Amino acid sequence: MQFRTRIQENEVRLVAGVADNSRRMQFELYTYCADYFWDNYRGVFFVDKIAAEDILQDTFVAFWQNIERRKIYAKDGIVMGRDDKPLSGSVLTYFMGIARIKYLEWVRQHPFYTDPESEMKRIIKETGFDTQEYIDILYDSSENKMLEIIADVISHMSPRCSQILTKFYYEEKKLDTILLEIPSIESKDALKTKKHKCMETLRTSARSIYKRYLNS
Amino acid sequence: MDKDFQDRIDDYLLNRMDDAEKVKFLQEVEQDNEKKEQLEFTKNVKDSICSRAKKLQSIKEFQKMYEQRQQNVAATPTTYGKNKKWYWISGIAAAFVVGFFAVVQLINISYKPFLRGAGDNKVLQYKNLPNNSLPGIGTYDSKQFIVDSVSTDTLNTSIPTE
Repeated sequence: MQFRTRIQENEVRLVAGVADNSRRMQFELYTYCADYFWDNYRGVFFVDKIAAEDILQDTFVAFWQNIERRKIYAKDGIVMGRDDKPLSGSVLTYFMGIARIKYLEWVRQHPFYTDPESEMKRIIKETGFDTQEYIDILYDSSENKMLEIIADVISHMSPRCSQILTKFYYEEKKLDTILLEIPSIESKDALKTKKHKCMETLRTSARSIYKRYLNS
Repeated sequence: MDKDFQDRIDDYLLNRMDDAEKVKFLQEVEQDNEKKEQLEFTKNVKDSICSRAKKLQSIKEFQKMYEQRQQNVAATPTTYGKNKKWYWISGIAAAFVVGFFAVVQLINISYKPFLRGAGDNKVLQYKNLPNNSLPGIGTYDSKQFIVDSVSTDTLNTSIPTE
C-alpha cells in the first residue's frame, strides 16, 4: 500500500468532494487555496491586493472547472492529473500554476503594468509566457476542447461584454430589460450590436486559441 | 456570424420558441454547416457563461465566509488570554519552586562539610583543637563554627595553641 501524508489525504478528500458538488467541500477547498495564495502569491508575482483578489477569483474558477471536467480528479486515494497520471506535486502547486497564468493574462489586460518602464514588463520578460504550459493546464485532453477554450476566453472578456452576456444567457433577461438596467446604452439596436460584437470577439479569440492548440 | 440567425439561435437556446418553430429551426441547422457551427458555439458560450456566473456567485459567498472566518480568528482571544490567571498562578508557583531550590543550594554552599577525608586541609587547620574532639571529625561547637567562618587572624587569636 502506498504511503500518503495527511496533506495528500486531505487534498484527495477535497477534490473528490468538489467533484461530487459538495458545497461544504467547495468552501473548504476555497479556504485551503486562499490561505496558501495569500501567504505565497508575492513569491510568484507582485500586484496590489485588489488585483490579487481578481486573480484569486479567476484562478479558483478555472481550478474548479478543471475538477468538474476531470482534468484533475481523485482516484484510489490519489489526486490524478494529466494523462491519468498522479499529479506531480501538491494541489496547491497546481493551483499556483493556474494563478501564474491568470496573472500573466491580467498583466496583458492592464497596459499600465505592461509599460516598458514598469517592473511588470521586466517580470514578464523574465518569466515568459509559455504557450505550452498555458495549453497544458487550461486545455487538457477532453472531448469538448472548444468549450474549455470558450470558458477561458470568457474569463477575460471585457466587463461590459461579460455584463451583457451574463444578463442575456445566465439571467435569461430580454434585451428590453437589459437596456433598462444598462442606461449607458442608448437603444435596443445598439445593445443588440454590442452583444453581437461581443460574440464575434469571443469567437475570434476562441478560434485563434483552438488553432494554436491543434498546432501544439 | 449571421446576426439575424443569431436571434433565432438565442430564442431556441432560451426556450422562446414553440415546438413547431423548434423543429423547423433544427431542420434548417442540419442542412447548413455554418449555422450548425454557430449554434454549437452559442451553446458553448451559454454553458460557459452560466457555469462561470454560478461559480462567481458561490465564490462571492465563500469570500464573505472566508473574511468572516479571518475576522473571527483575529478576534478570538489567544490561549494566553483565556488562561491568563492560570499562567500567573503557574508562574508564581514555578518561581517559588525555583527560589526554594536556589536557597537550599546557597545554604549547602555556605555550610561546611563535617566529615572530612584524610587529605582534607581543614584537618590541618584544626589540628590545635581540644583533645576531646574526634580525629577527622569536626565538632558542632558553635564557637568553632563561628571561628571557621571568620578570618584566619581571628582564628589564631581565638583558639589557644598547645
